[in-house]
Amino acid sequence: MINGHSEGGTYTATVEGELNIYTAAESATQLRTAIENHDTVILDLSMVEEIDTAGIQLLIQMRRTCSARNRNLVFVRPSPPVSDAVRLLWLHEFLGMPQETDAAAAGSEERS
Amino acid sequence: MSMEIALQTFIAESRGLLHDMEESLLSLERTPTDAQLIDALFRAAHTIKGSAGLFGLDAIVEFTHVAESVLERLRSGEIATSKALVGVMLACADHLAVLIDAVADRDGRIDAVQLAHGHRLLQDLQPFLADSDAGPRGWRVTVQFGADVCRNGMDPASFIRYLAGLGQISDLQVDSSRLPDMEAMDPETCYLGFSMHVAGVEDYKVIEDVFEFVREDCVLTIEPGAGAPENGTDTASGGAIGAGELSGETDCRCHGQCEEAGQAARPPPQPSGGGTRRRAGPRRNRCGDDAADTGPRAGQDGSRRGRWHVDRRHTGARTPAERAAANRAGHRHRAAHAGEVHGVVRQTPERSVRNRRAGGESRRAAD
Repeated sequence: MINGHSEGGTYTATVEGELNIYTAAESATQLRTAIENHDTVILDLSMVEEIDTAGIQLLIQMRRTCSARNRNLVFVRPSPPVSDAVRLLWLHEFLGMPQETDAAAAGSEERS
Repeated sequence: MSMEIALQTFIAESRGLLHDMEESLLSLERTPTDAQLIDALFRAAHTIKGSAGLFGLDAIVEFTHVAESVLERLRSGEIATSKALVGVMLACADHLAVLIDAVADRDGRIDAVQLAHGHRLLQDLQPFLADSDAGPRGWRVTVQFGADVCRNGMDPASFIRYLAGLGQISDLQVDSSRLPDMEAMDPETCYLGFSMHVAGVEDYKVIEDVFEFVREDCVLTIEPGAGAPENGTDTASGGAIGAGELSGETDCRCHGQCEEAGQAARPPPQPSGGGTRRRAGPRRNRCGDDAADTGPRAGQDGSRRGRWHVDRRHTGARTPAERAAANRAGHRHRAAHAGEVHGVVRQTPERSVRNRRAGGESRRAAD
């Protein structure tokens, strides 16, 4: 489930629960719209409880689309399942998720 | 008989023997334990080496000696036939043909590319000469998942996670070159492939077994690794996203070493699409062979559940079998609907099971 809100050209959203084959279609629709209508998309992944290849594929697609269209895309606070999958598939650099997620998560918690 | 005529005889005989070797190797893929075939292979290599020695063709002698040693181990049962072995041997036979051509046309001179190719083949033969070598050198594992793999309730990443528990994965590259634009992408279709170096696993069959559950939904390739990855971190972390080069390499069915490596036709994303398997080589197309005998595994999880315990314990994720079951229950209507949208007949698990069985049989017949 994705809960998001727009502010100016920025769309900020939190992904909650599953980001997988069961939710991929719905998530893709939402995220597609978000990318089309905003310059910057910030996706908080701290509430993701489960992610699979379909979810990862969606993140890859978002990253690619945003690069191609000069949109800013930031994945913040990856939850342990997300970090785990990203680390497993060596995608931290491509997706722009630092490997030291604990420190990153702590940092953003302080800010918020 | 003059030396020249004798040499011409050697060339003609060797070409004949190499042709026989190739036939034997391809037959060996179907009957891996056929002692007669293995014996014929060994004798062919032995004869070529012996004759080449008579003419002082040292390059051929040295190269064939290594291949012969591997075949000797195969003959004595120290190693078993594998697709990896057949693939390397086919490449060796091809290389020997090049060396023979060079004798026929250019006084045995070969160019630097051919020379390097020969060296590489000798390296590829090493794992078969000493069991312990395969471990440290590891394997290059490439797997392209079928479009419906997620829809069928399996998670490609879970197989890689499981593999990571058996050996050390490095230089992992995600091949997303098949991933279409956001508008065209079906989020439930799997477009991804993975390529990785796996160390610490001696027998490639262990790797093969990891993917057994999804054998009909992926194209799996296991090749002897090239040792430590040269630029692991650089290429691994996103560098290969959408990399056409990667797919170019993996598309080539001749061990990535032929000149067409960059331009070979891309295999169908679904292995069931078939195509000739003449040169399966070390590429492992798991959709073929005995697939029809064993059938899809999704429904037979009882006996296999133990294998996925590692996966489950570490991640809390559902086993592939559980996912499959859950998917069948909750996902079918969406899959059926998606088929209309894209003009592709999406299959419910039940239908796909039937079709795959049929496909397996026809493929087998084609073989």
